[in-house]
Amino acid sequence: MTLSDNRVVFKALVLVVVTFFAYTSTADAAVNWGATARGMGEAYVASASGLEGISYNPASGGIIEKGEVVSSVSRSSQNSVKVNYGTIGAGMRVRDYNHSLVVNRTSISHNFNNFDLTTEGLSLDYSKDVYYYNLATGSKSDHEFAINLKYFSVDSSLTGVTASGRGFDLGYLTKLSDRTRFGVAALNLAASRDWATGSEETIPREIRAGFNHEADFGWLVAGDVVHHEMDGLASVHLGMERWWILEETDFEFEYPVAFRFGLEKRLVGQKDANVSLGFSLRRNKGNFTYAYQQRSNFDNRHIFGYTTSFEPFVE
Amino acid sequence: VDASLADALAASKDFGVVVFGNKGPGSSSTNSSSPRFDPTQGETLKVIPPQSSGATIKVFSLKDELVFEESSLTGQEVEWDGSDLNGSLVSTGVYVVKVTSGNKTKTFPVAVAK
Repeated sequence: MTLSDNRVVFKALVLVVVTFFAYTSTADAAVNWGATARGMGEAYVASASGLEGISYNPASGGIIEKGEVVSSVSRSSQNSVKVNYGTIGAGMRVRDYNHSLVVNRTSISHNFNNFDLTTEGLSLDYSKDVYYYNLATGSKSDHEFAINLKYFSVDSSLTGVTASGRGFDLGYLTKLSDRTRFGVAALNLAASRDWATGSEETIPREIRAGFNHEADFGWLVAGDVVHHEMDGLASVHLGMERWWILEETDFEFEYPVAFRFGLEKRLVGQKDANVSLGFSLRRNKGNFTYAYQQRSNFDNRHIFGYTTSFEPFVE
Repeated sequence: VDASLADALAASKDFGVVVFGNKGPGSSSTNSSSPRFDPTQGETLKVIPPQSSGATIKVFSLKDELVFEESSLTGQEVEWDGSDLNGSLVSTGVYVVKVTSGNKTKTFPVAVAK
């Protein structure tokens, strides 16, 4: 069987599995991450590019020409409670496929000192990791297919509050025209966690679908909808992005700079709307990204990301 | 965790007390030894406000999504039985709880262990 035949078989397999499972979710088990996506209000399923985007759309892993290393950190806080998020990963192309490994951690550490007499001295340490293996066709063509194999791990200081599990995501990206892309991802398929208490948790599925379009006025405009297995249509996301080249003629430097804006509207639960904004600054093979995300329930979130690409970024 | 609820209430007139692992409405259970409860065993998270106040409890997932919300009238307790806004039990894991009681707001994590 030739390499070309392998690619056809892989794509066919992905399509069959997407069709078979086609349906949906939200899960606390996996947290989406990436400063670029956050700056765009998480309207990112069609704009996903590289390792930053694989939690939104696995096909994002296909947009790596040679290799990439990614990192991201952020924190949510509310009074004395701090929830930390961190991600690190690397990916590279081997022949016509991209292979990536990424780990995302959510952690919380809290003690109840000076809370009230009955809780004095209690404490809680909790962390949950999601390990991603991303396999993408990496064709840089009009169609990108990919799969995330996920392993969940939970550790804590509390007896029984530990778990492990697995699941997978499927993603697809395509060009509808030279200026328009469409993306769709089915997340948390066949996903579950086994807790040390003996209970098994089925992680609800989720479908994200969206587009982006390079408008005449120079901005990239993106929109996503998210459908959760338990909640139905759960959220709508809108985002905008534009790149400029800043030139320093005295030193012949060129700094590509991006600005982003986003709006996220939740349609279930609190039904709140939050805005976000962000920027990126590229220098040689490095790309620094910052995002600010308004949060109705917690302090506003600041997300920092840094990506190193082993080849020049594609403008 | 040796203090009784009465002692704790007396010492915390501006907020009240929080009880992890309370077994059922009206129960006088004391706090468990860790910030957790098992809703499948009838345990709840209970907030006992000062007598002159009610309490409001909001529960969030670590994805910052509102999971549960309830308020009580003056002098009444408020409980979270581990259910979400649809009435289904939440999954095992840690949640962030924001309680307003008396003239104070406190936020803390709690583990639901089923």
